[in-house]
Amino acid sequence: MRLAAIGSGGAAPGQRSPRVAARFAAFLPDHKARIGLVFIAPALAFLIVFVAYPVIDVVRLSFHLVDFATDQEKFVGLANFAHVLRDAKLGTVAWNTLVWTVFSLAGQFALGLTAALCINQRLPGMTLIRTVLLLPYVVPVIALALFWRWMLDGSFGIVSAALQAAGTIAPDQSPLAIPEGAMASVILANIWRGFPFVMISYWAALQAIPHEFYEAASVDGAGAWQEFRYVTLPHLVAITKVMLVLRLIWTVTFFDIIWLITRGGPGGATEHWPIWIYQETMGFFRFGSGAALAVLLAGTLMLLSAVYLLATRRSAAR
Amino acid sequence: MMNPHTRRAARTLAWASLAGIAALSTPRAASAVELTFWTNLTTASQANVIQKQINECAPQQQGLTVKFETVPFGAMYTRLITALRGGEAPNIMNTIEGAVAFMQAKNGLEPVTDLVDRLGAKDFTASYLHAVSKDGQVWGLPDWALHQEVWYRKDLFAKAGLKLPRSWDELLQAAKALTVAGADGKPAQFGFAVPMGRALVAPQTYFQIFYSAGGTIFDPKTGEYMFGEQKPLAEKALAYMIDLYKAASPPASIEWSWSEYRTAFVKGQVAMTNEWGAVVQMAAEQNPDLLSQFDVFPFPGPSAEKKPAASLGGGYYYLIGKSTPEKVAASKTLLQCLYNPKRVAERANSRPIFAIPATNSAFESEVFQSNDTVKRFKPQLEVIFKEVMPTWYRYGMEAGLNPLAGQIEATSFIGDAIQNAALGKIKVDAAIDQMDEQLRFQVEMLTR
Amino acid sequence: MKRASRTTTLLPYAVTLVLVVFVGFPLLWMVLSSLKPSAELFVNPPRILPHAITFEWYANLIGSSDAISLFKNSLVVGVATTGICLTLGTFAAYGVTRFDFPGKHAFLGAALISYVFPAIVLFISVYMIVNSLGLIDTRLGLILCHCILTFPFALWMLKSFFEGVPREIDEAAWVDGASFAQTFMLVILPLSLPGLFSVAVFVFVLSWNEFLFASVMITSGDLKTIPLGIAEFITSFDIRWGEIMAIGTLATVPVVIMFLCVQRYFVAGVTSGAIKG
Repeated sequence: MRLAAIGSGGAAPGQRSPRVAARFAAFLPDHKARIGLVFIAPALAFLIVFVAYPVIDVVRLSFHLVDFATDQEKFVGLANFAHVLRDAKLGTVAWNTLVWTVFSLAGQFALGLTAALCINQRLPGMTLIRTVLLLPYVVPVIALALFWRWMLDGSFGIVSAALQAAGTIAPDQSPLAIPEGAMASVILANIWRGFPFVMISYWAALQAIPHEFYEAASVDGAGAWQEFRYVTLPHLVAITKVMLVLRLIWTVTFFDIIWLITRGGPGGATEHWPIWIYQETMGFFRFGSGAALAVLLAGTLMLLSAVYLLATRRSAAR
Repeated sequence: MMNPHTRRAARTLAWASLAGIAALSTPRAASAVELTFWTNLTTASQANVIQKQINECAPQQQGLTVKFETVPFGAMYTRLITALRGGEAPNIMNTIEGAVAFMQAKNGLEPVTDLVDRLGAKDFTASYLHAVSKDGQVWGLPDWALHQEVWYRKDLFAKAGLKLPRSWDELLQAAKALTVAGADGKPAQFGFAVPMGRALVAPQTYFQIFYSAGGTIFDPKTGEYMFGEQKPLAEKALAYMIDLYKAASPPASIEWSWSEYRTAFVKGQVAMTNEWGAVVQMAAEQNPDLLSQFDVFPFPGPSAEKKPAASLGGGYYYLIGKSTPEKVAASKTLLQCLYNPKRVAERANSRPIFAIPATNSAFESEVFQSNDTVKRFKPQLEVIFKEVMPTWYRYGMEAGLNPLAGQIEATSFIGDAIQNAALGKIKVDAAIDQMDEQLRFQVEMLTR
Repeated sequence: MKRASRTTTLLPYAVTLVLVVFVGFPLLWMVLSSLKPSAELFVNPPRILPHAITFEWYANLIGSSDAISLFKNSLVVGVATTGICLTLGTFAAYGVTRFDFPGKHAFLGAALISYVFPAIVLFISVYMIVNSLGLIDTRLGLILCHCILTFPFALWMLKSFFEGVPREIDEAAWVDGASFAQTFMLVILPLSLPGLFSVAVFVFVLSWNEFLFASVMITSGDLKTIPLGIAEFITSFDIRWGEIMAIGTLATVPVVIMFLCVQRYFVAGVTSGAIKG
């Protein structure tokens, strides 16, 4: 009965042969693990060949010095790591990365959740609004960075003009030419760009909350806020957990947008860890150092994710 | 009766045999050579000229096909690295001097000295050959000659009663005189744009000033690292640059790139700017009325008694990648065809004033001289060709090819020092120390 | 029954209005700029509405860079990447959430590892692999690279969406005699359409935007994707604003149309009452 109401196609239950059902009953305890492996087999193969190899190669490279002219590699142990950890700009870059990440995430999640709650309402016009709110994510980053940069131009940019008129910056000045202004600008661009992803994920999760819960709550006399706190929020915990980890990793490693807007300037004020990696790899062609920086970054992110997931797993009631 | 599978197998076999017989019975033609040809000139009007010329020249060699590709500059180094790793460097490249140095250091180039001699070494402007020479060989054919000089507004100069500046001091005074406030007290016009974009632009502005005073990173004759011994000069140049910035440049210029400072000049926001000649085409598109007021003078040296020692320049070159003798020979023949004066002039005319032919024959050719923009800016071109082009360097390449140039461009350690000094975060001498330290470190790594 | 108060109806609209302005203003600016002639693009102080409109940037684009082929290539690569990622990902996510087997957590963790390495250090190794498969300068090679970039995320997101589908539904299907494959394809998948949709969006957009791998994998002019096309308007000495604004606008339009089409199907699937017992 239930099966018939769900989906389309497939044999009706009554037509199933009792032999098949018995076979599955016998399968379950012994072969369930094997079946799980079958399901993940294609993905596993893909991961091993295409993902594991490059990653192992990078780790390997971090322990070598690559000669610029001949591309020959020489094992140098931890020398690359020592070199980058002693670099004068380590502190600045780490701090920039932290500021960039924390504010970007805060903005994206706040905006994303708010937007999701709004578009989840079954009100007229929301479909169109939902599409409009998705647009920042769809615009190519390179075009976005360029026109953001242009809107912030000191002489012809509309945003700078507004700031100048308000007296916050000098005439003909651009926020991009001021260290703090540059950081604020790239963060704003990143929030603008990234919140639709959070919005859409929350929206999908909100849609999956069965209506019975809300009906039950309203029968019990719950108000809007209580509904949100006791019905909505708990259902969002799982997706928030995953999204937080993913967005954290994605934001910390996001290179394009800062590079295209400020190149890490002025004076290194917006240079974050990926830009440092880029300079070592594609600027100085010191692949070993670049790999070492990448390994350090990766290690930190993995540690953070592991700690976070372990800590929150205990509270997950499954 | 044959089933479908057997029928299909038989059919395949039949086709295969036919193909085999056909291949065997065709007389071996002159072995077909395919060359890969990359250019960084992705703008259609420029790339099309090159493509057209390839189509004219390739038929001269029987069986020659040329795979032509435009490679955006942002992708150039990644493409070169992967190509070299994969063992398939391109056969002909049209790119700027930084990439020449990169490829040569990685042993990926064929020298073109013989080709230069065949075409006539004296025909080339010597400074462009010098920049891509190393170990007694020339590694690139100069194509587009690039140059930096001061572009200024004749009308504004006339209005303020100014003469052409002959020294740093005179330039600063003129810039100040041309920085005027409007009726509302806000700046209506700035005297001199001092762009300091972190990657590329800051070094280009700074070294223009440093070179004019006779400074260099390497000794042009001996190749010895010299920057460290010239610190007083380097500091003087940086201090001057910052003075100019504070007195006469829009505050936002600290992070300006080419697009911004050119726009500033073309829109009349600044009266003078150190530039490559691209403002002409830009103004033709965006503000044609202003074009007749454009004029040039070479960036002056510190004192009026001596002419500026040199300027910062650059060039687009044609390189030949290491390959089979067959392909190298085919590449040389193709390039020789591309290098008749008419074609050199045609290529330069695809971006007039910004690109000037690096050969005398092309510069004086009918094709070049009859271009409308060239005709209009003839006096300016004469100044550039005669006074600016003969003495220029690229940072790091004063003594010939050196991958340091590419590293200065692709990283920002010079730009950072300059920006921080301009922001007041560090003192000028500390900035120069930083630059020196990093330069030394890089030089050491490269010569190891 | 709940009283529909004024606030509950108006508040979402008020908030979305702010959001739409926040989102829409830069986009509107981009579209307006793509229609402004050169003389109007750079005006100090900036003017909002143009006095004259021009379509020359669009004309330049369509004429010179063969914009149609750029879009076609980006579309093919994007759709294929999305398809492969969703297929591999849904199977794997189902296996991970419904079954227990040794190495499950290691598998999940390992999937995420590549993600903590920025593409700029991975690209050389990836290039060598794709090269040895002979797939350089093919769409398939680029699709493979994009899958490498997107699959770990797809897996994790799908896992969390599948976790949200109660196991009772699976068990009901098993009791009714469905096989694991049938349960997966006919029962669970339709219920996770919202999740599938959001993952599809993410994967597609990432592929649509990707520049680094496209720049090393694609060499032929007729296989170039949109980001490569845009990059061509930025030479080492110049930025062609008009064309960039135009291509930015054009690159957004087809994706929007696609979303509108897919959304209708997707919303219908969710609201068809599938979840109700």
